[in-house]
Amino acid sequence: MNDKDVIIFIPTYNDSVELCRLIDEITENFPAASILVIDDGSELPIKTYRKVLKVRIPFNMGLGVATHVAIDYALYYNFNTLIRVDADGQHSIDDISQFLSALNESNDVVIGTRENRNEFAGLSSFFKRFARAYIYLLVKLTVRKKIPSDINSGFIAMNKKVMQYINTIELDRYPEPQIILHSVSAGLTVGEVKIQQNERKFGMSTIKLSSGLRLLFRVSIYCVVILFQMKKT
Amino acid sequence: MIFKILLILFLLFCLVTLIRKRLLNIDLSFPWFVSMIALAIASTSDIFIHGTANLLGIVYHPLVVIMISLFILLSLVTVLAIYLTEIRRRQILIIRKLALQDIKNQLNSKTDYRSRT
Repeated sequence: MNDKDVIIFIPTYNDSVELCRLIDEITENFPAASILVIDDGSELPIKTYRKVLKVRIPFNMGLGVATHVAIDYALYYNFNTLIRVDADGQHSIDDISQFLSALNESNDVVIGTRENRNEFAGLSSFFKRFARAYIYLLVKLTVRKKIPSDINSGFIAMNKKVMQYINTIELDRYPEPQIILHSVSAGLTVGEVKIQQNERKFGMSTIKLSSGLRLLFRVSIYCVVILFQMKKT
Repeated sequence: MIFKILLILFLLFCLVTLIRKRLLNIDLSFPWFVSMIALAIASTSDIFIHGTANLLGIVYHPLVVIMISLFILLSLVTVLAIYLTEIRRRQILIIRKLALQDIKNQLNSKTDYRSRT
């Protein structure tokens, strides 16, 4: 796959410390790939010293809208591959090659399964583990097909077919399970690559207890709705 | 009875004032208007109150008025939530259009972006 057909988009919300390093690394490793930074309503506008495409959404709308913006751009300019990398530095840029290889092996969408996702200790780690297991089970029961083991990972790559399909639905604030759910139920090939998640050095996760509970509620309702839709069709 | 009608008229006056001062959209005022009429009819009709109380097994019949008010309130919240959802959907579409336009402008204005035009 030619890097020229690849767009790497970095959604960011108040995460500017690691962003410049990430952009440097991407530029070094994938010189032909396009980079799109989407500032999802950060309190202070995100600044980068390197010239990259930057879009600022005036207020925080969530990852779903940021993903739609990236897909709109990718489809308008006819890119074949879209890769999402988080701005907090938890994803290794070196792993992008694995994603591209997996997409070349006839996968339509590839998600990075964090092998060490349960390692990081913290007050909310138990809740996060529970939430991941719950969402996994719920999506699995909804689609009743094989799904990747880590469907909440933000490190995700997709081809044009998936982008076109995803553009027909409305992505929510935390779109990763949605993308997997729809892709699997639409019969698209979903692959996974094993990755190691780096520990967050700066900033804090946007998912707190209250937003986590809201996320569980959203996914639950969403799965029920999808179940009804599936029965209808 | 007169007091109730005066109260309803006062609420109607408040509604019209809100619309006149452009604090409330005329489309959004319709559910409020319908609610007020429903509340006025339901709370002033003895037949309706006693009938509903007997139907639902409510011992203290005036409680039906509170129940109707809560029901109307819930209906209003639902209607407004539907409006809000539609507004949010439109807002997202506008944001996406503006973002794509922003990208196009950036690509047209500079040629050294690491991106295709």
